[in-house]
Order: sequence, then C-alpha cells, then structure tokens
Amino acid sequence: MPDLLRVENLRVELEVNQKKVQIVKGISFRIAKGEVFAIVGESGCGKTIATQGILKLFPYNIKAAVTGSVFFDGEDLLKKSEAELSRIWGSKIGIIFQDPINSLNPSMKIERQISEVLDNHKKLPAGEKKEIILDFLQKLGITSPESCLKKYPHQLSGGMCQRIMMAIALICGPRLLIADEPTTALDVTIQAQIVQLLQEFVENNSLSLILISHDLSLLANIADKVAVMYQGLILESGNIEEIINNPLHPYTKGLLAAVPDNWNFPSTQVSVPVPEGFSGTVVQGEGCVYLSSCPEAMNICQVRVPEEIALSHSRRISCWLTAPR
Amino acid sequence: MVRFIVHRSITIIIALWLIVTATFIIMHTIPGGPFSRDKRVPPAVLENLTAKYHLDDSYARQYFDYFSGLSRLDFGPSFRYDFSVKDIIVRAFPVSAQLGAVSVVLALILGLGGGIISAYSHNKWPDYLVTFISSLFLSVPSFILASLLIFIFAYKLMWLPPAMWGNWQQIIMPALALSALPAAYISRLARTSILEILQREYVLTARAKGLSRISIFFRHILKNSILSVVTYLGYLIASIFTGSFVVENIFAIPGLGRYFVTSILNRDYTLILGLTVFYAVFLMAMNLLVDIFYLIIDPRIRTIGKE
Repeated sequence: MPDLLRVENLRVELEVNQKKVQIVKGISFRIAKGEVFAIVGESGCGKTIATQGILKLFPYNIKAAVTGSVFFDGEDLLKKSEAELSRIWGSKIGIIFQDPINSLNPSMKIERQISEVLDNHKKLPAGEKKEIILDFLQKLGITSPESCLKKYPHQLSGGMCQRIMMAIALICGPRLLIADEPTTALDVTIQAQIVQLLQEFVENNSLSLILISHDLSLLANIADKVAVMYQGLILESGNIEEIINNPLHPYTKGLLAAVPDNWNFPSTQVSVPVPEGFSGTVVQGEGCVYLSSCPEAMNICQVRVPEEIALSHSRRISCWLTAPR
Repeated sequence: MVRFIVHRSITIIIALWLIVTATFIIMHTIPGGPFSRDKRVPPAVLENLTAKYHLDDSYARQYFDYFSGLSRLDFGPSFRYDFSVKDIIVRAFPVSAQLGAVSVVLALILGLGGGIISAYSHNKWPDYLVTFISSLFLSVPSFILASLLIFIFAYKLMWLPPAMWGNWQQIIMPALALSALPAAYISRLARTSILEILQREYVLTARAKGLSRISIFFRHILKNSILSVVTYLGYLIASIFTGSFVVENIFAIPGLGRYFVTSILNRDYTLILGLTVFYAVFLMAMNLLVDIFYLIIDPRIRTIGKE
C-alpha cells in the first residue's frame, strides 16, 4: 500500500528562555492509508512536539524550527508556507487534543465552532451545512444534536466536548487524523467509547490515524504500528503485536512491565527507571539517550549512540543489544 | 437578567444613601461655612442668609430635608452661584460628556491598537516602542501634556485654537490630553490579556481549523480578551464624562469638572452633595452596565447568575 505520510529525519528545536533546545532529534516513520500509527512514551519525551512539527502547527507562544521532511500525499509539508498549510489543516489533516474542554472556545456556541471549519474549507448552502453537521453528530453518538448545537462548551461533559472536537477535526473528511492523547482527560468508561468511535471512523473512511498516548493497554486494541519515543528519539518501532509480545529495547520492556495486569495491580514488577532530576530538557551526551536508566547498559552505550537498524520490513530499533557488532 | 438588575438597583440605592450620609458628615466637619469667606457683612444679613438656606436648622433636620428634596430630584440651590444645582449639572454636564465621549473613543482606538500591536509583536521592537510610549503617557500628568499640546499646535504651528469651547477644532487638544493616560492603560491591559488568550488551547484549535490569523483574532481572541478592558471602561467613562478639573481649566471649557473642586473650596454644601450624588449614580450605573456586558460576552457568567 502506498504511504500517505512519510516523515524523514524530523528535528524540532524550540527556543526556551532564549536558549535553543532540540526536543525532537531526528525521527523517521511512514504511515499507510487506513493505518493506525501510535506513538508512546512518557511525558516530556517529545511526542506532542513531534506531531506539531509534522504540521508546523505550534501554539503562538512557541518559537520552533523544524527540519527534515514530511511527505504528505507526495508533497513536502515543511516546504509550504503558513497560508498553504492552513488550507490543509482542518480539511486534509484533522487534529484533536488532549484537553477537550479547554480546546473549545468558551464564548462561542458549539454550532458556530463546527460550522466555522466547514465555512473555511467548503462553501455550502446554510441548510445543507446544518444537515451535514446534525448527521455527523449523530454518527458520533450524540443523541440530541439539535440542542447540543445551541450550547456552550461549559454546558457539556468532557466526553461530549471530545466528540465535538472529533466533529471539528473530521467533518471536512480528512485523510489523516492526529489525536494527541485524546482520552487522557476523560473517565475510563468514556475513554473506551471515544476509542471505539475513532476505530469506527478509521475503518469506515480509510482514515489514517496518528495516535499519541502513554497508555499501552489502550493502544493494544486499536493500533497497527507503534513507535516508542524517549527523549526525542524513536527507540523502537514495529507492528503492535511484535512490540507487545517481543519487546527488544530495554525501555520498551520497562514500559510494558509498568502496565498493570488486569485486576491484579499493584503489580510487583513495576520498574521503569527514570533518570534522576529529569527536567524535560536534556543535554545531548555522547552515548545512548537511555544510558543513565538502562538496566542492561554496556560499555559501548556510553561512547556511541546506537544507529537505527531495520530488523524486518516494519521493525526498527536503536539499541546496541540488538545491533550486530 | 431582570432579577439581577433589580437586585443590583437595590444595592445601588443603599450605597447611595451611605455615600450621601458620609459626604454630609464630612462636609459639615470641615471648618468654615458657605458665607465665612465673604467680606464682612452685618450680622443681620448673615442671619438672614443662614435662615434663607436653612443653615440654622439642626443637622438632623437639614439631613432629612435634603433626602426629601432628593426624592423629588431637587438638589437645592447653589450657595455660590445664582443657579440651582440641577441647573449647573444640566448646563455643564453635556459639555464634559461630549469631551469625555471623544476622549473615551480616542483612548479605546489608541489603546486597543497599541495593545494588539504589542501583543502580536511580543518582545520585538514594536512591542518595546508601544510599551515605552505607554509608560511615558502613564507618567506624564495631563497638565504638562496639555501645555505641551498648546505650545506646539496652537502657539508654534497655529493649527488649532488654544482654548475655549464651541467647534470641533476646540475638542481635539483637550481630548488628546484627556485620553493619553487611559489609552496607555488600555494598551497595557489589552496586551496582557491578548497574550494570555493567545496561549489558550482553543486558539490552537482555531489554527488547526485552518482559519486565517485575522479571523482567529476577531472570532476567538478579541471577545475573550476584552473583559479586562470593559471593566476599566466602566470606571473610565464615569470619571471622564463628569469632567476634569485640570484639563477643563487649562482649555477654559465650561464643563462640570471645575465645580468638583470649587464647590468644596466655597463650602457650597448643596453643590458638593449634588455633584457627589450625580457622580456616584453615574459610576454605579456604569458598573451595572459593565456587569450586564459581562453576561453578554461570557456565557459562563450567565450560568453562574442563574444558580
């Protein structure tokens, strides 16, 4: 299947307190049409910044420099101007965020917030537009869409707000959806509903999905491929079954060990070492980024960064343990 | 909404009663009276005067008389001028209000413009320039600015009339002098709140919709960041519409401002009370308007009001 998105050597540098800090240090991956690609990693590993870098869509207060290339539909997004990109944002690529309530404008009615994106990318007569919106909300499991449209965000629950965010992101029929921790702020029961909805949309519309999460148990049900990120690098990536059943990188093993067994927690084996005094900004040393926390570190890990090697068509890893020496 | 307004109106009446009472007490504790500064008059005349203005009544009597007059919207006669207090307000307030309205509009345009430029060029040179100018206007007193304006535009360039009131050219300089400080203040307020809103997640959502910078500003940022400016506007309108002693004196404008100061110097009891009541009512009405405006702007406040 042809790739919808191909990311090559993406680097993102942010300006923090007048100092430049590289948050994403060269990541590459590809996503096929209709595929669900998950990025996992702990807070501060750069997963959100990486997706913002793909789109060159950062909050106004963040100054960022993005290098590398991002081929979407054959075109390099990083070479496009903001005006060109804004024709893609919301129409060909949809985005949903972690905190649905704060991601909606508190002083604007839901109807306007949804119709705004339609108005921006498609010119539709008012009646038809309303019909499309109502229809879409029904698909998202909103039982009384008419009254929902007349409300403000603070009158809705978190789960409802996330459905509205999904409507905004998906109503123009994008080919790629980026969901940045879409369920983290929600109750567990609502989480399952949102994941199921995402899955339905992926299957029915041959939509590709980048799903960012730190919750491996959530990903196991929905993702096709997964990339494990740590301090701005992808340490290991591959098909979800391979990664879960046969993790090779010590960090992946640690992450999987940290997932509590069903109804059996606290698990006694939880041990994901996190570097002491870890503040999110990391000085790049000579060795492997995971060195200071790695239970299996060797001499070579201190001197050289392991290169990424392909173990199979889909599986890639950067670790001296698996590297041929 | 109606309940809210009724509730607030009752509070206003109570507040007004407290203000009048406090002013009444303070006014009578200042030494001297309305006629003590005049050249010596025969005791008989003085007696007649105090009797005419009921100053020989007990304070309690005067206090209740005043309230009964107030309930008929009768502010009483001025002790110094040949008009009633009501006449003075009716005559001078429109002048001050006209000047005030122009000044407020000017302050809003300059202030919001400066604030928007400042916020969007955060920590770049336009931001520093606007910040510098607004700090300057915040610290330069209006009488210096007014004198400077007269010197440049009336004396050196001779573009504008130096003083008096009657045509539009005569509004320009006093309006500039009056609006400089509020414009500077509004630009600071607007800068801070726009910067804060720019970081909100829903602004990122708006960008993710592919909206242009201009539509994001007008649809998502302006309305959510205007509350702090609206709050200040209530106070600003009340104080600027009732006139400025300094600016009106410099430009010889027959507004209400000078009466605030002279009425106290003259111990013009009825005028002091009348102007206090007028200003207080105006200020509280403006604050009520601001609160109503909040309800219109922010739907979250509306829900709280219902509970």
